[in-house]
Amino acid sequence: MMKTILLFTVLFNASFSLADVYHCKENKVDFYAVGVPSMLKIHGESSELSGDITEAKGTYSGEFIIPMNSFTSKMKLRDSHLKDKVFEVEKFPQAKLSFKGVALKEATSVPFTGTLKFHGVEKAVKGDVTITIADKKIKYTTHCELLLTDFGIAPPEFAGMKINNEVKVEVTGSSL
Amino acid sequence: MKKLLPLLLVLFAPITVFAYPEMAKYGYVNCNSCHVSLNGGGILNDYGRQIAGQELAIWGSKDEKDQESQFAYGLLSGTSVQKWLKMGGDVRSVYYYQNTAAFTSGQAVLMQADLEAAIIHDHFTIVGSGGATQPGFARTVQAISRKHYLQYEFSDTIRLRVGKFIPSYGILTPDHMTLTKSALELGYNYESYNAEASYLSERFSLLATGVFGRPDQTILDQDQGFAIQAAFAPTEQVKFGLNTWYGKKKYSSRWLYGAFAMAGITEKLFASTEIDLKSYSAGDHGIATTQRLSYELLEGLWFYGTQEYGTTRTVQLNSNSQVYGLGLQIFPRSHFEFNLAYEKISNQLAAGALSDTTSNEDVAWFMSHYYF
Repeated sequence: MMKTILLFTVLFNASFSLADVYHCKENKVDFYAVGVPSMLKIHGESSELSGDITEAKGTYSGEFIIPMNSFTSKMKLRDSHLKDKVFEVEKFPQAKLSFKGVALKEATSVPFTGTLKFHGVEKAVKGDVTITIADKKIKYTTHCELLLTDFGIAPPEFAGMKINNEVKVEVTGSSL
Repeated sequence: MKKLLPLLLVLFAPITVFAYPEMAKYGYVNCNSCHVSLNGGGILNDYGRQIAGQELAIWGSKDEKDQESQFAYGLLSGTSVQKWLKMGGDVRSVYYYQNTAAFTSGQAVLMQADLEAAIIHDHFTIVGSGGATQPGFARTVQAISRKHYLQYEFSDTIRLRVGKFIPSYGILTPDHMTLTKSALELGYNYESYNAEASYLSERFSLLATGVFGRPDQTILDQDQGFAIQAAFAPTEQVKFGLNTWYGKKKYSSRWLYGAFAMAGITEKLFASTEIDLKSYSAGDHGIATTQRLSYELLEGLWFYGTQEYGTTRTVQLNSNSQVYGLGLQIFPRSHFEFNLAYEKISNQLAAGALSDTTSNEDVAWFMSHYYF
């Protein structure tokens, strides 16, 4: 019995060591939206994104979660509208981004397709990602563009200010 | 030059309403986020009312601020008229104190009592203001319309505006007495009849204005010519711009070339700078520059410092003016604003055969502003 346990332990560790897991802690999500007619640029940000990136056989997978209540656009009134009326954080407290089998090249912008669950809607999103790895530490930058209507959100309008449907998202981070 | 400013303040007491470049801290680098006018000042749009109510008031709950920020405390709220009619108005007065080596004086001045309306229908906007003014030291009151114009929006980015308004040049600040504004005959009190074509995108803006002066009051001999302003906003809190102005009066002409920048450095800190080079046919080739640093101590309470420098260079006259100022801008509750400021002014003058003379003066002023 002891031999069997030892064998399984060795096998398990051997297979596990085929994958590198990067626990990403220092992350930041920024979104950029535009309001018309004044071309108002709204920049929201959060540093509470958490997740892991796993590398196996040269391809990368990952899963990230962000509490939607953590976003701020540096203005109380706007934040309150954003969270209560747009994100509806009470009903949809988190957003999740996951991707699988993405072949990344170091220091090269590579297109990827992932899945974003946001505002209760799960949908494929396309973007690009750039990584650098040094001393078993990964750094990444991701860009993608979302349509609010894809996630069941009507482009918000407040007192004559209409927010465009397209929202740019940038995610940056690094592992410990 | 600056020595004359308090006098000019009285002579040109009526001024139009404000724009607050400090709102760049919140990402509002384009004035028409809050104002009906593309280059700011004057009547607020619905969004501007909400922002003013929440961010420019120290006291009051969120609901109180929402209610109070409306025109005349909600006179038009909930009516169908409110969709197409925007109303506003301002009453302002200032008490200023001036202390020079030669004299000390103080005076209260009613600066403005105006009503303004905007009718917005489809792509058209019509704006008009009417009020009373007491020009200079005169005891008589006369009616005045500081602005009236028609604007057509071809798209979200392209607009055409014709009528009477302030041509776009530099940063339109509430402090119209700076060396880069009144001293250059720009900004408030220098409204003129114009035709303006504008392009405004996420990052770039271009405003070209044909300036036709004041054909209704030729005695004022205001500039006729053109102004061009190009600006770039690399982020939501930063804007840079370049300006040029050509103006022709009856017996003279001038070129102005300027650059400006404004930035919300942090959520609390704002900085702006403007520099203008002037070239007058009469021979004056000088500069004027104004800097401002403002810090938000509380929501609705701003502490600020200013620095100005200006020169006049002609064959007969060589003068330098320097101004350092500190102030406190207070928005206690929706509709109210108070501004307390102190300035130290130094004028160095060399004229003809006269040797250099330097004069120093202290100016303090307290401005009260109520907007409907």
